[in-house]
Amino acid sequence: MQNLNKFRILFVDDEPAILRSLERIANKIDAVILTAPSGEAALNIINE
Amino acid sequence: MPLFSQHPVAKQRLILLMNECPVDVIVSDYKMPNMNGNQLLEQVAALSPETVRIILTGSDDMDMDMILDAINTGHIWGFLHKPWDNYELIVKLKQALQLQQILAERTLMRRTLDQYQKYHKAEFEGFIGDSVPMQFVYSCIEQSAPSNASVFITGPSGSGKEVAAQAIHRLSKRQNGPFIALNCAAIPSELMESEIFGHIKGAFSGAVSNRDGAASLANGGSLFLDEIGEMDIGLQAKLLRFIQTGCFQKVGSGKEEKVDIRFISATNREPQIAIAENKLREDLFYRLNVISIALPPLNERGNDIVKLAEYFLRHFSDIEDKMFVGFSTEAEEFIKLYAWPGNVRQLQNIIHSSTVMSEGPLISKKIIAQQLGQQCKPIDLGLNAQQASINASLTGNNSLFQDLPQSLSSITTLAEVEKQAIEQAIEKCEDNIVKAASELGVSPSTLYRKIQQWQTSPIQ
Repeated sequence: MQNLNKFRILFVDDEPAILRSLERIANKIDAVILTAPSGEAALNIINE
Repeated sequence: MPLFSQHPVAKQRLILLMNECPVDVIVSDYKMPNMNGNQLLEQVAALSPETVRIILTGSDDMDMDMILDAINTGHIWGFLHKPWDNYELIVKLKQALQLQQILAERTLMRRTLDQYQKYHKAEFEGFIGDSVPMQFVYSCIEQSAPSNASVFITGPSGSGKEVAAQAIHRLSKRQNGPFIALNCAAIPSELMESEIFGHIKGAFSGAVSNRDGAASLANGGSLFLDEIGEMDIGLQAKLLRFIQTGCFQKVGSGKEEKVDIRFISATNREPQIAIAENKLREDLFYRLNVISIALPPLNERGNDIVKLAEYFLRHFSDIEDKMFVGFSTEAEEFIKLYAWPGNVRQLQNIIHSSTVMSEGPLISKKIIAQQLGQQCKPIDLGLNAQQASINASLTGNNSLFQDLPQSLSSITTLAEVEKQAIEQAIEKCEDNIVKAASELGVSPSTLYRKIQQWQTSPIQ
């Protein structure tokens, strides 16, 4: 239940290197950064 | 980045709202095995419409037609080039978050409005009016009624304190029990103790039989003590003990009786001032003031004035068998702008006398002004003034009230007129307040209160 008052940004890419890079840049924004390696994984996060 | 609304409640609700939306912004690669980015965002659009959706695409696999189509159908809000420019990525994400916030706030606003409309009432348990201040009163009554907590009602005279008390009783678990109202200002203090607690035969001269007081009569129900600030201060101590223990003794009796009562009390004085003036015991006030409800004066209820006037007109037309269909435009304007110092009760009386004293189909401004003049008849104690008033009403030019709605200073004028009338009456009755009061057609306590008011806050 932490970071409830923060926005959540989800990155989806099948290349782990790209996800890491996107995550690193986006961390400059005051938001919770989530990543998913596939469309299916992304839908799981959204359906949580 | 000021992404949140500053108001703490709004912020809290915004957070709740955001939790319903699992992800605020999604950035997806286009080219992926199994499900491509476009297919994913299409599904996300259906699952979570508030999520801002961005596609990330390399120029190699960029299919312009697909992107344009996706943007036009609305399931993609924007796209980013791969490889991306860091600055552009940050700007795009911030824009997306801002959009997300606007969407969340709009949803919040719509829900608040829905809720407001759902609970918004045009009338409520004997009250009429849908103004915002009255909505607060209604919800206060609704919330407090089912409990056993004492309720303290404040508000100027004629604003509906007894209506509120009755509403609380009707909505309480005691609705089938008795509702007993006692006006502490109307009863002489010597009789008050017996009124509240009752007496036994022979308790004092004139006590020819046993008599139940309000405390016994209200058992299992609600006891409404109106104008509590007018109650004798010594008696207030006995009342406090009664409230604390539920036990009392009839006057002249040594037998303790126990009852189950919910207390509702009211005053048109400012309680803190009454306490400072030693008119109201502080400990009693805090005991009675578990929940407080403040009734707004009529002139703070906006368009409710017209709705009330129309209601009273229909009501009294029926009772008096008259054929009124409404108010003239001028009369309506007058009703809206007049200060109504006597609040709803004054409006009710004026509409009643206007229906009696004129014929349909419309109530005119002239008749209302005349009735307002009549209501202040005590000013005509002197014969000359009376004659002047008759002349004025004959010519339809009641000079006192002719330009009433235009000038705000007329509010003070009315108070001044009242003061003059009372002073004249007291003088005529050689300082006998009780006699003066009966000449004026009001209770002595009203006069005492008025006189005290002038002493504490003189009319400018």
